[in-house]
Amino acid sequence: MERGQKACDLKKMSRDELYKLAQKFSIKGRSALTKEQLIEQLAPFVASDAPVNAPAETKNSEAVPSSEKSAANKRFSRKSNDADLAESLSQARRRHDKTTAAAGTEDGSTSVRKPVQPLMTGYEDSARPKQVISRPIPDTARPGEERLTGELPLGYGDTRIVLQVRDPHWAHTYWDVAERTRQQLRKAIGDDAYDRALFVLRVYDVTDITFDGLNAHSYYDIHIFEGANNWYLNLGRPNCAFLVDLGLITPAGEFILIARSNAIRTPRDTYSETVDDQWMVLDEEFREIYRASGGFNVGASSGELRQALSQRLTEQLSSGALSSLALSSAALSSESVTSPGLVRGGQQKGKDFWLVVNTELIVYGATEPDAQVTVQGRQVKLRPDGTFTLRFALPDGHQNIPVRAVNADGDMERTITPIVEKTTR
Amino acid sequence: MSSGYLCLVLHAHLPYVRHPEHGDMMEERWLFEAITETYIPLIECYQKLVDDGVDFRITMSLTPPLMAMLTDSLLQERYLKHLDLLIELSEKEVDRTRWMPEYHDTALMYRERLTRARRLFRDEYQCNLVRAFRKFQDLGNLEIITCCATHGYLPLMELYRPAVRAQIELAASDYERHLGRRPRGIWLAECAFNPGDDKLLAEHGIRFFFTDAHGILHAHPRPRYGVFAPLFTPSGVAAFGRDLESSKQVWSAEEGYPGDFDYREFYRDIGFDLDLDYIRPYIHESGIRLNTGIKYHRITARGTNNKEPYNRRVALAKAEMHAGHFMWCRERQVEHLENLMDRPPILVSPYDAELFGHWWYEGPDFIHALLRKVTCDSRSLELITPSEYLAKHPKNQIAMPSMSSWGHKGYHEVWLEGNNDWIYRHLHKAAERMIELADRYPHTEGTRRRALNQAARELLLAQASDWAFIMKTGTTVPYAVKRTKDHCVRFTRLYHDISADAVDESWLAEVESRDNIFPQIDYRIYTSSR
Repeated sequence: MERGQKACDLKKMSRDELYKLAQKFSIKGRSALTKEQLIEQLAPFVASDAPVNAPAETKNSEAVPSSEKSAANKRFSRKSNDADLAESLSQARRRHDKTTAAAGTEDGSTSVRKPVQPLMTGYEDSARPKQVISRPIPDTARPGEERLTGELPLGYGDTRIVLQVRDPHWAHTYWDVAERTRQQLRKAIGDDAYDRALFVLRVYDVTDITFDGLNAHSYYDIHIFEGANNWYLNLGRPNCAFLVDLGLITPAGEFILIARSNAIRTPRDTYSETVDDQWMVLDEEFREIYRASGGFNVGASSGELRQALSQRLTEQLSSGALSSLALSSAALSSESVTSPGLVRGGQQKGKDFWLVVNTELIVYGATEPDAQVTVQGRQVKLRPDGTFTLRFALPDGHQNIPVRAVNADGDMERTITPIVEKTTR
Repeated sequence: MSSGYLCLVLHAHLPYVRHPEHGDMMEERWLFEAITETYIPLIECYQKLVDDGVDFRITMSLTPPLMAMLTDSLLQERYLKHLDLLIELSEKEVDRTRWMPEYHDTALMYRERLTRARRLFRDEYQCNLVRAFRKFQDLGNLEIITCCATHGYLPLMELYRPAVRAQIELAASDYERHLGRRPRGIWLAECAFNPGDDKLLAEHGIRFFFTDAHGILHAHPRPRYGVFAPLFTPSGVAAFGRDLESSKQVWSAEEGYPGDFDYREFYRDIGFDLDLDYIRPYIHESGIRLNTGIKYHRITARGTNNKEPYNRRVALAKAEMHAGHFMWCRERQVEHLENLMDRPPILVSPYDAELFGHWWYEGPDFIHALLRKVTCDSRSLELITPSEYLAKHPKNQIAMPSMSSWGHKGYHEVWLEGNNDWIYRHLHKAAERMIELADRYPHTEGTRRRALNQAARELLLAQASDWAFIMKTGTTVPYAVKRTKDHCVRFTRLYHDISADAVDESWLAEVESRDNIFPQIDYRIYTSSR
């Protein structure tokens, strides 16, 4: 959160102030950057516990572990050797920090997917003292929870597209376009053309060919909006090979390739036409075997119940429910606690009013710790101090409850008999 | 001469859940409940059969995460503590129900079973249940197979072959460490097969795996015997196909046995029903009610909360009857197939092991009755393990099974849909970086080596298909999301620190102590050029 606040601090600064800060951090190309871009570039350098205007003293203690920071610095200095790696690393870092900082700012909303569940801030329940490390002691200090968890970046600064099979008819694709790629594209085709260009997924049928960019059996385009980063493709052709290009269509109608995916092959959705002559069988006989094997009922068998089983196994046994709904009455009426009796009414207020009353009887007492005690003839375990407690569910009716104690020597005894009558009206 | 084989396969798996940093982590109860309700009852069932001289056969996968948890001293200790509390509660329950004869017998049953479980767990097997399963393997009644190292969903790792290979290689070496020999078979996580993965199995000496029915049925070329005989893939590994008919009898929500009105109801538990003061020591330490496992009712008409009392004797008789019915159906199936085949058909019936006991309380008793009946009574059915089948029938058709899984609709949709598709860009990036690291550091020692090994562990733990599955099914989603993020974040940090030669040792030690699966791991399994 603190980082978010600092990012807010950056937002309050004028472009001139930001520029000066960028100068101190030697941010490249700073003079060409807009205010927003400067903020984005500076965010990773803003420490949670250091004033923004004293960057030289920056010490990262929390969100970015110091070792990682120095690692980052080292990488920047190594850039000439390993330019690509460092570039992608710094990209990743920047994106990473951007997501961390996004909490308190208005940027970071480029995600298209519905945002994933906010990260739980650890599992500490309020009853237990939180693990606080006030002062790091070199050899015994354990890293706090916050250093073992975190948010994932939106992307990794690559330009790439990946295609995965989902089933015989559908595939899923996700992609990432690096900022520098976008800028190159912008430069290449001009701002105006870029702003009016359409982002498309071009889906090629490449079944049984080595694709050279031109020889696909067929292709079709899907228009996507620039911020999208994944898509489900209805391919509709089992047992065929596909590949996807992510590209731009310029206002002039030209297709510009941004990234090309791997090729996939969709699975067959029925039996093969190919018959092995060593294992030949009449067609109708095969059909009968296929039917007996459940071939006309594929995938309809067990999914649902397995899902239900797993739900049952994990249901109610989740610290997730615990820390997100934490100890409030909400936990008791939430869906995750579908339970009998006590809580059921919470979901249907007014519709299904109900009341459950049960009675229990507690019989307790004490005697010499080494005595033998029976209640209704059954042995009772004494606590070390000679006390005992029994708790009975008490149904309607009459109960004689003789409590008999015999001393260790077996020559003395006492019997006390409570009598209980319970009726319900 | 029998006219057909029945191959029962129980897939025992739980994701790696171990939180030394928390005193009472609800998710650890997944393991505890499965031990009490499934693993121990199955071990008791096998033992009883062995004691009675019943020479049964069954196949079980014990996944590497499950074996890691079953042999972890922290979890063993915690389980014992959990069990002791349950026993204490069951003792109180015997008192409490004294005047309620309709519940009292059931209370006595819990006390008796829990006390027995403790004896088996602590005294007989020294808290290590892998030892128990190994015993039955060594006796020849049980064939234990392995599973992808962390139950990773292989078809969605396809782009990173070394990552797929690592899931297999580690599974095989981990199996050997625990069970003293190489695995002959594997249960691919979620039964998910991607053509080509069979080659990796062959490279690691694995001789058979399973696919769902359509994996075999849609093989290329066409499978002569349908799912009733295995295929050899071009790399020589046998693929056995699931028999849907026998699956349905157990799995189906409508027709399945577990829904019978004589069986125990899951949704009435004293953890929710009893006075909070009384039950507090046995529920979550925060006071949140949860299932204790002590339940007194049988399944009654849906939608009503007034359930009838459970009667153990009646339930056991029904389990026996269902076992008889199941066997009868398989015999009829085999008879029918006789006309279509020139060799004995094999019916492969795989189930999640946790179905038996946890979901279906009488499930282990069903298994017990079934194994006994088929071994002793059936004239046309014989129990068999895949290894035995292959020894008897070494000649099988060669064909490549189709891509498939046993998930809903038969492919990858459960693990690749709107709620979980976001994970793959991170899992893929981590796999890519892991391979890059392994290639970059072919020889290394000391802290960097530890960091590289830990990076491999984080990647593997993030890859568990359980997280995507939970995100899809919608219970305990925050936990699955957090686990995915934590492992990816830890991986990323290791990647950067290793690259910059700036590994923070105390941080590394902490992560090692938490995500401590695969102590023997060697990150070089990710090397690309092998």
